[in-house]
Amino acid sequence: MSAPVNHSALTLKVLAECSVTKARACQLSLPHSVVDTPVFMPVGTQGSLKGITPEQLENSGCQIMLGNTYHLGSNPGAELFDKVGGLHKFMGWKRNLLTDSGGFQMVSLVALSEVTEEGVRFSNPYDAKDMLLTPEKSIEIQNSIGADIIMQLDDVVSSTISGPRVEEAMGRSIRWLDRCIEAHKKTKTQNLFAIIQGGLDSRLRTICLNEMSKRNVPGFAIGGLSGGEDKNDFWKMVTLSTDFLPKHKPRYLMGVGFPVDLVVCSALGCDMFDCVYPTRTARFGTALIPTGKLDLKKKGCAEDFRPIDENCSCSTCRQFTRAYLHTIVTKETVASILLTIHNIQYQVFFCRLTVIDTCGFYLFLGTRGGNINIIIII
Amino acid sequence: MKFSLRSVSQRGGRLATISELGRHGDKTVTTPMCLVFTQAGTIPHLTNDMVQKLGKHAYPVHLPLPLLLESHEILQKYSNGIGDFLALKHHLLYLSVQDSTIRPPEGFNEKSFVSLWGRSGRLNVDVDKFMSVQEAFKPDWYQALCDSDAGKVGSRKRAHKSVERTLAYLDRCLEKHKESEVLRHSCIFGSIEGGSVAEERELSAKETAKRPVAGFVLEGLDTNGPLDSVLPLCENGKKEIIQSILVDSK
Repeated sequence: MSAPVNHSALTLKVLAECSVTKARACQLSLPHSVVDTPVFMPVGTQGSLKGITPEQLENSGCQIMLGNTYHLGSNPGAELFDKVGGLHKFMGWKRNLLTDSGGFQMVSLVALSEVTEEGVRFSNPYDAKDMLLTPEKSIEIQNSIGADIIMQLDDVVSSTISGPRVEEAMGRSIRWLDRCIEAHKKTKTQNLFAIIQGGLDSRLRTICLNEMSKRNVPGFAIGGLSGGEDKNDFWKMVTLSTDFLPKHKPRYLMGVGFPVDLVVCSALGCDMFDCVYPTRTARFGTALIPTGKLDLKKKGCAEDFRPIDENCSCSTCRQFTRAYLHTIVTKETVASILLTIHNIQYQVFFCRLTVIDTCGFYLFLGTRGGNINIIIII
Repeated sequence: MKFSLRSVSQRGGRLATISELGRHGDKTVTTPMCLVFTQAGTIPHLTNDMVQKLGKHAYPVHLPLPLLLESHEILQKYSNGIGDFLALKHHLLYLSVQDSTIRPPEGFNEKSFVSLWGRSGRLNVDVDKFMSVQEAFKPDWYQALCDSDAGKVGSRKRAHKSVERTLAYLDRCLEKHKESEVLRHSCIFGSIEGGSVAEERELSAKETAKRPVAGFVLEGLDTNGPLDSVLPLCENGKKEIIQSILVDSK
């Protein structure tokens, strides 16, 4: 067990709690700015959201965004970040950053990776060079990148896998957490989060929760989910985790997700979310709206002179009609940018609207959740 | 529209101001002026907020018709004009017949229509359709329908046809323009054709200058049209020239 960590880089203030569900509204103070939770964090893998400038991102209401250690560590590399003074300066982003450790790439790039106790070896398809990502190396790169929240390197397996590999990964993640804590040099300016693993197995999850919550980290993430598993299994693991995790520390549910998942998982007590969905689907011509999705490629949009969402104040909805966007989606790059701006603003505000300090959580479901009827039996 | 020369150099270079820009109130533009290129109504890769960072004043925008033509019926229903549709209504909008960055294939224009290439392929545009598009789009400036296919370099016959047809289209466009209430704030430009044949260029310039056009578009300069012989033939000091240069896309 390591010595207590100084948490001056993060404070969590719980503003309100739902009397029926486990939802809560908080203020999360991080080195660069305050974040209102529940919060949706868009993903800018290579240090930028594709097509969007930091200024456009700021205008969309985003308070914290993600970057990926594997990608940034390969290009431009930790050495350059040391010279420049970190990713914030490099990309001109004044608000908060969170870096994932490279763990998820074990799943997304599984064909190019090999895991041992030492770390993960990735072979780069572009230049044929190998990268050995150990817990120490991941933390070193993340220290150079300088994000406000950094993630432990965890041993991640796909949620659709079962058997001894899941237990192996869970046990290894605990050991790697300790190595990450040991290696972390910038505790005053960067918050290292632990990541709970254990697949879809309650027993393994509970072991992991027991062990990891003994470590004095500023926050916890729930990992290894949102990988195509059955939703009925997914909810159970989320609620099991939030039952166990300390209330005074933030809970980050990784890789979530679709708007309905944001509502449900906020109700289950999660504070932070990330997903490529809104930005990726924008580039394919789909906008997010209160009733679900709007495919702007469809002929029905050709003569529709309404904005994407009449209640949305994003720059896209203020200027353009569905009819215009229909003429350019998937054909002009500006269409990707316009839809990305809308989808980010929509998802960020959608998530924030689960705040229950004045309206109450069930009022939220009635006005913004639309036609969602969810019964969860845990 | 008012074109005011401020100075002319010895060799003919000139500085001017264009004012009385219809719906733009008391705004003016100075020339020489570069129009911002658009594709399907967007400045490639740049949203409007990003372009605004490039300059404080409203910039003039070039809208090539081919990729916008398929939106004709939509614009008729929309009724507020292309500027509003593209969120560019505060900018000076110039609608050209062809996309000057793409050389259209030769041999597809006929006596009664010109071929434009949209996303779904070839579209034949005659004067009636063309003017219907102008009324739906309501640009500030537009190039009258023209046949800019002057055939192979040195071909007199085809060059002559392009001049003749363009003048015929221009006369019909001017008739319809005059009758149109919707286009009363829009200005029509005539095109100087003739390919690489100096005599045809001269004929085109002289004849076009007799018509009540707001200005001239020099077409087909990628086929080495002789610029020197054309410029003096346009009414000196009273009208401006927009240079239209076809860039070889290869």
